[in-house]
This record gives sequence, C-alpha cells and structure tokens, in this order.
Amino acid sequence: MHTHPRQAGGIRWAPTGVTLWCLGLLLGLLPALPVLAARPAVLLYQPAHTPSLDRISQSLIRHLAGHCRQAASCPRVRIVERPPAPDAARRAALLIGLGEKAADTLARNAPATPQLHLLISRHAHQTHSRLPGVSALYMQQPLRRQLRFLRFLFPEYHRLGVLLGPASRHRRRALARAADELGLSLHSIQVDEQRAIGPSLRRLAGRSDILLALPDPLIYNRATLATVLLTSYHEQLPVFGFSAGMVRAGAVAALYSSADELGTEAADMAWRMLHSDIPAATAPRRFERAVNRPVAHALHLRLPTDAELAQWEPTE
Amino acid sequence: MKAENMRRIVLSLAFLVGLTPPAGHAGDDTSQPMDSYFLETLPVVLSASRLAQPVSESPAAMTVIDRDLIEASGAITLPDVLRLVPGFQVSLISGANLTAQYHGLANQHPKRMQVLIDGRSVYHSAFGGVHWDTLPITLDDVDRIEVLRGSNASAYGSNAFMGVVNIITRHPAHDRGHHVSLLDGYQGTRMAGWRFGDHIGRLDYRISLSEFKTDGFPNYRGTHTWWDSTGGPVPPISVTTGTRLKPKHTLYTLARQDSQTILRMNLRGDYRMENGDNLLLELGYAHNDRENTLADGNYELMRPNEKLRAGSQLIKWSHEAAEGSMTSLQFSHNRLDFDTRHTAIAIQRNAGILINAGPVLGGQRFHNDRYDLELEHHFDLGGWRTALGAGLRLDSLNGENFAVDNRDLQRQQYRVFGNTEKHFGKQDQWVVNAGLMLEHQQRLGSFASPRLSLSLHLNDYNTLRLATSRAYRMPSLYEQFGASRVDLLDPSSIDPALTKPLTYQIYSDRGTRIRPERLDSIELGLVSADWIDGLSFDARLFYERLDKYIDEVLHRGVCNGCDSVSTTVPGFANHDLWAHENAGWLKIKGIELQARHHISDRTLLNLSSSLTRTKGRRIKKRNADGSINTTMRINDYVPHITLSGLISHRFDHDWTGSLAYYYMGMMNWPNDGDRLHPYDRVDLRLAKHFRLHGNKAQVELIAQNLGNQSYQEFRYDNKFERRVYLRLRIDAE
Repeated sequence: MHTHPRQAGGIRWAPTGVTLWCLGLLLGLLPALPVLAARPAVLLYQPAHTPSLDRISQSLIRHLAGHCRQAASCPRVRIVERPPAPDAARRAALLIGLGEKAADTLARNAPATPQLHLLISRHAHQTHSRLPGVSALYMQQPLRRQLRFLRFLFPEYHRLGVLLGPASRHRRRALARAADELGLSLHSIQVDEQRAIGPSLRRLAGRSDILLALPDPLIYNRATLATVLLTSYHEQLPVFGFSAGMVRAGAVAALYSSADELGTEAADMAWRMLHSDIPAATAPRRFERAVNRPVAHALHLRLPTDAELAQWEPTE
Repeated sequence: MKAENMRRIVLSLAFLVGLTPPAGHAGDDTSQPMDSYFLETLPVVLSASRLAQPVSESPAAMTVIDRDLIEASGAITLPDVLRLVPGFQVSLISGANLTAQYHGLANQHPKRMQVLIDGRSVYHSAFGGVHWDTLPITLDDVDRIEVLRGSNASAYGSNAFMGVVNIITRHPAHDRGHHVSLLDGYQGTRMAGWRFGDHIGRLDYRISLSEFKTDGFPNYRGTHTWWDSTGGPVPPISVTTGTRLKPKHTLYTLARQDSQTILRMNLRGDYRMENGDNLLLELGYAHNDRENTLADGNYELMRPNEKLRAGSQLIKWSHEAAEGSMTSLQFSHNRLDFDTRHTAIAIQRNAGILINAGPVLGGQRFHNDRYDLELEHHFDLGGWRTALGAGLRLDSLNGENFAVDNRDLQRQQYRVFGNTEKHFGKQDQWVVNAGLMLEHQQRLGSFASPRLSLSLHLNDYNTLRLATSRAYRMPSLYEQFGASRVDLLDPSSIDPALTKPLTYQIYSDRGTRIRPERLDSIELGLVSADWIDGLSFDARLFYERLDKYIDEVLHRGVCNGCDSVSTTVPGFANHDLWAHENAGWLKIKGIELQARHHISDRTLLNLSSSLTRTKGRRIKKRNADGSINTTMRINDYVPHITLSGLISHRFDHDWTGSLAYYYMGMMNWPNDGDRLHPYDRVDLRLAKHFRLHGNKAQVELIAQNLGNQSYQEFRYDNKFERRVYLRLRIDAE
C-alpha cells in the first residue's frame, strides 16, 4: 500500500475536540432555524437611554408579550441604539422608532417595511413620514380633548391665549376651529425668537384668561420655561401645559399620557401591524389629568376635587 | 478697606463665573428634539417659596406689597413703601439715614424686626437690625414684599421678634434685557440705576448697579441766635437756604450736614442643575458715604464723614421632590464695615446758652461679620405639612471704641426649629399650625420660642385665626458688650468750674448680666377675601407684652476713673455714664385693619390703619450705688394711631395716577429721637407710559407732602417739606 505524501498532507486535518463540539452544536440547531426565521422580528430603534424612553420600551415589550401569550406566538423584539442597517431593517417584520429623529431615519432607510412611530408630533408625521405601511402614535393630546378639559376646569374662562412659534404656527387654524366650537375666543401671538417670549406673554396677558402651551422647542424648553412660568405667574395668567413635568414646574394643569400608557397603546398598535393590519395614526386614547394645586391656589383659582377630576371624561 | 472690599467682590464674582457652564451649552436646550421634553423631569420654577401664599392661609397676619402697589406708591426708597403697612413707622433720622419699625420702639436701629432678602437675613449684629441705607438692592429690584405683622420667632428666629419684612427680588428669568431708571428732584436727590438680566445656558442672572445721592434736609431757615467758640452770642441773623456764613458761625452746624452718596451693586444668579435642583447665588455690596450730624437742645456733635460698607454673599441649594417635599441648604455672610470715627466740635448748651465747647474724638470703627448656615427640610408627615431645620450662626466684631479695651467679640448661636400644619374637620375648615424654635446663644443660654395658631375657614371667603406666641430677642453686640466714649482732645479748653462735663456719653456694659427681651403675644384675626368682588380685608386684634425691655440707662456719677479726662481735669472725677440694661416693660394692645379693593380693572384702593394703647415704664437714671433714681413712662414709644390710604387709577393706556394719604399720631422716638406731634401728608404720583425707540418707557412726577405743611420726622430739626421728583424708567427687552 502506498500513500501519496501530498494526499496524505491534504487529509492531515485532524478534527479537535472543540471543533467537533461546535459542529455538533450547529447541526443540532439546524432543525430549529426555520422556527427562528419564522418568528417575526421587531426592531425597536431607541436612539437614547433616558429613564422615560426606557420605560416606554419596557412597557411596550411587556404588553406585546402579553398579547403573544394569548396567541402563543411571540415576536422577537430587539432594541437597537443605532439606526438599523438597511438590510436588517428590510428583513424586519416591524420597525418601531422612538422620537422624531428615529422616525425620520427609519422612514428614509426602509420605506417598504411596516413602521410604527412613537413620540412624534402629528405635524411631523404628516409632513415627513406619511407612507403606506407607516403608522404613528402621536405624543400630543388632541386639541379638542385639551380644550374640553380646560373648559371643565375653568368654565368662566373664555379668552384663550397662545404663543405660536415656528413648530406650532401651523396649528393656528385647527386651534381656532376647536376653540370656536367650545365657545372660546383665541388670541395668538407669533414668536420668532426667544427674547420675544417675555414681552409677548405680557401683551397676551392683557387679552387672555389662560395660556395654552403648544409644544414648540423655541418657546417651551428647559431654558425658557422659567421665563414663561415666572412671567405668566407675575401677570396672573395661568398656564395650561402639555406634560407632567410642566405641571410640576408650575403650569396649573395638563393632560398627558404617561410612559406606561404610551407603551401599552404602542404594543396594541404593533400587535395589529404584525398581523398585517396597519392602523391609522392616532393620538393616545389613555391619558392622565394633572393639576398643580399650590399654583392654582396662589392664582386664586378653584380646581375640582381629585374625585371630580378622575371622573371627567372628554366627550369626543 | 476699599481695596479689601473690591478684592472680595472680585473673588466672589470669580466664584460665580467658575460655576458658570461653558457658553457652548447655551443652545442645547433649544436644539433638543421636541420629544425629549414631553417626558423629562423639569425643575420646579414656581416653588412654594416663589408663590405668594394666600393671606387667608398664612398662620400670621400678613401684608403683601406687590409690584403694582410699589409702583402706585411713588416710593423712592425701599422703606418708604412700608408706610402702607398697618402699624409701621417710617422716618428719616437725618437726611442721610432712615429707620422703619413695626410697633414703634425704634431708634436708629430697628432691632426688633427681621429683614430678609430672598431668604437671607440682613440683620447686623453690631447694633441690631438693618441699615436700610446699606441694602444692596433698590425698589426696582423688588418683586414683592411680604410683611408678617407680629412675632414670628418660631419660624424666623430671634430677630423676628415683632415682625418680618420678607423682600423677594425679581427672578432673573423674568427680567431679561436692560432696565434704566433715572431720578432727579428735591435737595439734589439724584438716582441712576441700571439693571441687566440674561442667561448663560442654565444660569439666569441679573446684575444691578445704582447710585443715589441727596443733600438731605435743607439748611436752617428763619432767625437764629448762634454762639461762637468763646460762648459769646453772635447777633441774631436771618438765614435762608444758601446763606453764606461768616467764620464765627461755623462752629454751629448752621448748614445741615446730612448728605449722602450710596453706591449699590447686586448680582443674582439662578442656576438650574441637570437634576432639576436649583442653586441661588447672590452677591451684594453697598457703599455709603454720609454726613450725620446730630444735634439736640443740649448737645451737638458734628460728624461730617461716616463710611458704611456692607457686603453680602448667599449661596443656596434647593431640591424639590414631586410630593411637595423640599430640602434646602444655605450659607450666607454679611459684612458691615462701619466707620464713624471722627474728630469734631462738641457743643454743649443749657437752655439754649452755650456752656461748653471743645474738640472731641468719638464714633466707632469696626468690622462686623455674620456667618449663617441653615438646613431646612419640608415634608408631609402623615397629613401634617412639616418643616424642620437647624442653623448655626457666628457673629464677630473687631474694631475701635465699641467694646471694653477694644477687644474682639465673638458670639455663636445654634438653633433647631420646626413647624407643622394640618387641616382637619369635615371640609378641612380647621387649620392648626404649631411652631417651635430652640436657640442656644453663647453666654446667654437656651431659649424656646413657641407659636400656635388655629384658623377656621368660616366659608369660602372668610377665615378666623387665633394665635399665641412667645419670642425672645437676643441683645445686639452693642447692648451686650458695648463700651465706647467721646474723648475730649483738649481738656484745657474746658472750664473746670462748669458742673456738667462735656465728655459724658460713655456706654458700657457695666457688668450687668443683660438678658434677652421676651415678648408674649396673643392675637385674633379675621381675613376676608373676595367676599365682595375684588375686596380683601384683614383685621387683627392683638395684645403684646414685652418684658426685660432693653434700653440705655443713665448711671449718675459712677464712672470714676473710667475716662482719661476724669483723672486729668478737676471737677470731672465723677462721671455719668450710659449703660444698657433690661430696664423696663411694655404692654401694647390694639387693632389693625387693612383693606384692598380692586374697584375695577383700572382702580385700586388700599387702606390700612392701626389703633393702639400702650402702657410701659422703664428706668431712666440710676444712682452711683445702683439704686433707681428716676423711672419714666414710655406709653408714647408706640404711636396711638397710624393711617394710610392709597388710590391708584389707570386713566387710559398711557396715563396712570395715584394719591396717597398718611397720618401718624404723636410718637416719642427713643434715644436720639424726639417726642413729635402728629402729622399727615398727601403724596401724588402721575405717570405717562410711552414708547421710546420701541422700548417701554415711563416718566413719573412724584410729589411727597403735596400740601407743603411741613412736619417733623424723628427729630425736631428734621422738617419734612414738599418734595418733588421726576423719574424716568426705560425697559429694553
């Protein structure tokens, strides 16, 4: 018997224990691969880690898991901090983006994949990411809901003041319509630079009973909040805010949806989208009522009791 | 001293700048995406300390003077607006010095009252009380003033013996841009002020500078007889303002020397930390150069130059949790450099006849510091709104002619305090509020000042309040350790045959153990808000008993050897001297009323009045053996009646006007002051608002004592005539 040395060299590869073990594992996993591939993958793009964003994500995952326990098939949710690669995004069953930047990125990178955008304004959704297969859960409460709550709290107030900045001036018409329906007269002032906030508020105070804060980064941010709240307090003009933080800081009241509520509703919408049903973009159905009693007190305003507040439901 | 003060300011400024975040942060807030602030935690802006507490909720009687009332009053100086508070007496001591005190008993130093600026006590421990003329702020910087009438030592410490004046300055975030104020008027009174507010990143800051000048009261007018240095009378002459005096007249202060120049600087920074906590920084400096000649029927001292420098720093950290709990830690330092050391001519007269005159060295020169550290925590304890706190205070003083042997003084004080409040009853109509302050003062011992109040909300509009309290006032350093004298520089100029020596004003602690004053009070109050639309009303019936009242007592012929003159000049062997001691008691009962009515959007009416009955007695003189020589009634240390009325009206968008009426009953101002007749006066203010290059501006005409019926303030020779001022204010936002 003779053996070719080269041949012998060619087959001199001797499998070690480790490689055999890996091979065995791969082979063992093979039957499972189709199952993994069949589980729809949800990519949750959360660009930053803040406690409230984390809470929304966790609430969403938890409630999605609740849905699939009943249905016995669970989507795989992966949280990514960076924009998902176009390939991965295309392969995903559903893309969820937290915040306007995330929505924008996802809409550009994978326009064909179903997407759910959270923490996005109605305006941003309608102008930038209105694509078939894309739905959104707005962060703002509907105007009418807010105005109804405002009327419930302060039935004697009829003059509604608003500061409109670059990001909110498009809402003027809708606001005027809603205010008109509820018997409120609208007084608005356009603000184009931060230094104009104080003087505009003072002008507005003479013509309005309450200030409705509409989200606009130029007017309402951490740096300007003190100016807005102190000036309006000084002018005895109550501020109707748009977040729990604002009420804590000194706004007299607000309607808002908590991180848990947003997560729950997003999970409901995501579940439908995973089953090929694209719901229309909507404002959150669940919301909280917040009031700041010390501020109301200092402004000589009377607020309904906690029980009355809890019972209030908008007739939408 | 000047250089030292400047160095301190520069250091403090550097400290502030050191905390300022880099300018790159400036745009961060606006460039944040909109979603980020929907959910984020925001710092509390309208905190409990910033919100005006409704008067009906306050456990003590309170008068709030807000910006509208300050504007309407036409006041020029800060204490001036306190004339609107029931029971307050505001008075010029000279053209260059003023005092304001609640319920009388006020000499130059309103030591029975606490004055706070944004929570920082501006009480100076040397003489006690506040030097209004060295406050680092002007009325323009003030957002509102809350005056707590009555004792509140359980919440504010021993200085809040009879009342608290809480000055809240405008928040820098509310005061962006430039503000300029110019005033000109009566007796060379001029004021120029500039304020600027802006923000750097998370830091809102405001800086204000102002200078105030006045020539004080006008020179004496009318026909007077003067005396020259030999005691010989100068023929009577008729003088009017501006009369040129011959050299022989100059011995006597024919020309009033009470001008002053005050320079004020104030910097306030509110820094919002990343986690929502707030950091408040305040730096203040006031520089007051004044003349302060004091003269009365028998004794006259020309003190042409006094220098007062006051510096203050405050740093306060506060953290507010969502559930209404709040923690704050603050450190503050007040410094007063006081220099009235002077050589002057002292003139002694008896029944108008000059009996002696000579050059003397008097006055004091010292540095007085107060360091204060305070921790406070507010929280909810099972439905009881509770505040607990602890504080540490250090007073120190060093200088000339203040204490025995010019020794340095130091005094420490520790305090713990608590206050709790609960609503109960079916509709929470009952409110109970209890407070206690425990103080330990070095060398004096420990004292407990409790306060208890019970309020009943009769309905939505009316509240009835019953309160009782005990408070202690710690003596000022001067009352406790003071020893100063007026030295005759040339004893040979004195005629030894005269029985009354010239250098008799010597203060000393006489070794008597001085105890804190004690005030027990009880009050019944009714607060009504909006019962009639736009009308708020407050009535307070009170009874106060002050024990261990501290005052100066003349000790006859006891100062043997305690004065150099006494040993060198025959006839001066036995001197009189003045000493502070717990000399008496006082009972004050009365009623205070205040009403504010917003008659319409354009018209505001504010009325206040106080009617009191006072009974009191104190020791006036003691004999050399310590026995009492004379006592005196001090029923007139508190005026029987004070009244004020203010009506202000907005005629149209451009014109506003207001008319104020003040009445003060007969009052005896203690110590350097005189017993003065009742007076009334009418003030008028007219303001025109307009636009100046697009900026908001207003020009005001202010007339005080419009009727020109001259009256006296604090002393016989302070004749208050009509004073007219013109003020221009511009806001460039």
